[in-house]
Amino acid sequence: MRPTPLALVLSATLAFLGCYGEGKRGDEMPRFPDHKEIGSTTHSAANADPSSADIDEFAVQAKAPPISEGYFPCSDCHADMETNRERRELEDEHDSVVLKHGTRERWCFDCHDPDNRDELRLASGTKIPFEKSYRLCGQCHGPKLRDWRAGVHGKRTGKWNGEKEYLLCVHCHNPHAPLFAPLVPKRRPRAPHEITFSKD
Amino acid sequence: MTDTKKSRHYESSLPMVSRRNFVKSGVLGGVAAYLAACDTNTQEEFFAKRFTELTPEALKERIAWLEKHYEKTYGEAFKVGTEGPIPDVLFGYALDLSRCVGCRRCAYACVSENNLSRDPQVHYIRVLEQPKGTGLDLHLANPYYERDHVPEEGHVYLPVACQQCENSPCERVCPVGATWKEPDGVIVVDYDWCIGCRYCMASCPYGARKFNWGAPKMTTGDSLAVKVLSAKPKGEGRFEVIVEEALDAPERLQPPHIMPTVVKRPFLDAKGNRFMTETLPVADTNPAARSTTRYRFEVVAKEAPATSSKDDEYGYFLDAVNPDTHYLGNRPRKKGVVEKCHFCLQRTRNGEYPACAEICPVGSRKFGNLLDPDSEIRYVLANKRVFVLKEELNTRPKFFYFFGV
Repeated sequence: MRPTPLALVLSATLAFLGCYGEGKRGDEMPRFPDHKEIGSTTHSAANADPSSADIDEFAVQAKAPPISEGYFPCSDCHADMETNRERRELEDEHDSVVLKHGTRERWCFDCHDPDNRDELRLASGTKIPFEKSYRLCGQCHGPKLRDWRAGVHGKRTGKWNGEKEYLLCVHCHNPHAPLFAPLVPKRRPRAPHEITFSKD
Repeated sequence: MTDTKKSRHYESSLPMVSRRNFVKSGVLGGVAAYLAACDTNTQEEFFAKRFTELTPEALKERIAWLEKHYEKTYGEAFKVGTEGPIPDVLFGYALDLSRCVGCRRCAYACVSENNLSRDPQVHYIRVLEQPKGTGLDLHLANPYYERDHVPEEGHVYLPVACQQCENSPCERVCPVGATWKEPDGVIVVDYDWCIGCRYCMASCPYGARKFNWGAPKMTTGDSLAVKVLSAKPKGEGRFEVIVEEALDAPERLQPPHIMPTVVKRPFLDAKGNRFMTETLPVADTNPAARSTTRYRFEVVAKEAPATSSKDDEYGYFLDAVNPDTHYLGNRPRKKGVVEKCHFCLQRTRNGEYPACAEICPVGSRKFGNLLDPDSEIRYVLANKRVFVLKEELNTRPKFFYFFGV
């Protein structure tokens, strides 16, 4: 049966609307790669709210959180200490920590849990272990967290087609002063007129 | 009369040799004489067939010969891989220009991984420094910048290597078919078949191809690498080691780098003891040391690497040659042939990331399969502002630049 002109116009309109609708949907729901799982189960709740999904569903952590040696568990010292919630300059301990990260707005207990120092604390009050510190960073740096989950912010090692290893935000950025310090570059290459070689 | 003359002429030249045959036999004789005078190595190289024409048996023989030859030349066991392209894979690369700081670690990781010649110097990756706000006026770019620290205020950095064009001019101009595009999209060179005419270098708009002006040297002592600051036993022949890069190495020395940890290759001390590195390095966790070049990683060895006692002692040497090679990738080249970036075939065809991507301290380098919609590279293409270099030339690169922020 040959399609009538009316049917053609109708189907074209429908196709156009379909595309438009799809585009809208795409805008509302950014793509997250958390469906890329390696040997793990699907968490439907996690898929619904990508910001609470755990990255270890599709990658493994390359390194333990970088906590200075001899400092963990924090409760070794802090369990018997009274919690001083006053904002102050630290003198006896942790005096090497220089806060250059929202200095006016932030203080230790915005991230560290005052009741249990072995854990971190989200703004919502949810407690998280140091291994999941990316959730803490992601509270403010949402787009960065999204890129990091996709393996685009930061570095992935391991296999490009298999199990990937990820580093935590704090492996590269000092959480207390996250700006990258300048690096010493490697020596410049030789210019063409400088290239020499020993003859054999 | 004329007949008599003619016959006399015929009589006088008994075996008739045409001019063409004379020249031909002369040339052939010359070549034969030259080859006869050469050692067997040169003969083997001379008669080596083109990679794509080798039968499986011939290839096996060729590999066996190469491995033996390299072992004899470089003094350690070599592996020459022939891993083919992985089905349904098209390699792509993306580089985040908003993150690159121009530290050149990628360039040197590449040198070490891919057995590039240190003398004469060959680099696949050139990092261009450019004043901010000048767009892509590459005539303002400077690959020879010297800075105490990078990034330099008011400058951006653009590392350029082979763009692995889909529509590659280099492949088309090669008069002998020594370079071609593999099904996974990587342009490779058959180093045995290249005649060194350098047409490909002239045709490449990215300056990605490099010529070996001299016999490549990898064991020049240029690889002086690290100072061991501490070594702690971790049980079962494992040691946690903190090393420091030798940044102020003498002029003659290649800039040292953290390659032993990146390519997971052995490094040697002055006595020739071997230490096998196990894990990727992590910058020292001491916040004050973050901007320095101290790295922590694990080694496997019988005894702990000795710590360097003096401040200026960089006692550990990289094993300069990488014996883990691929036929179309990083196997040692020879004088007079062209070479280029091949996306670290010896690594990537085995699932690993290229060395430059693995070493990048700011994570600006992304690598993956363009045909896999879940890959990092596809995420970049779908979500970031992306461009290719010299798009107007219709080379259709598979190397993309993007802005991650």
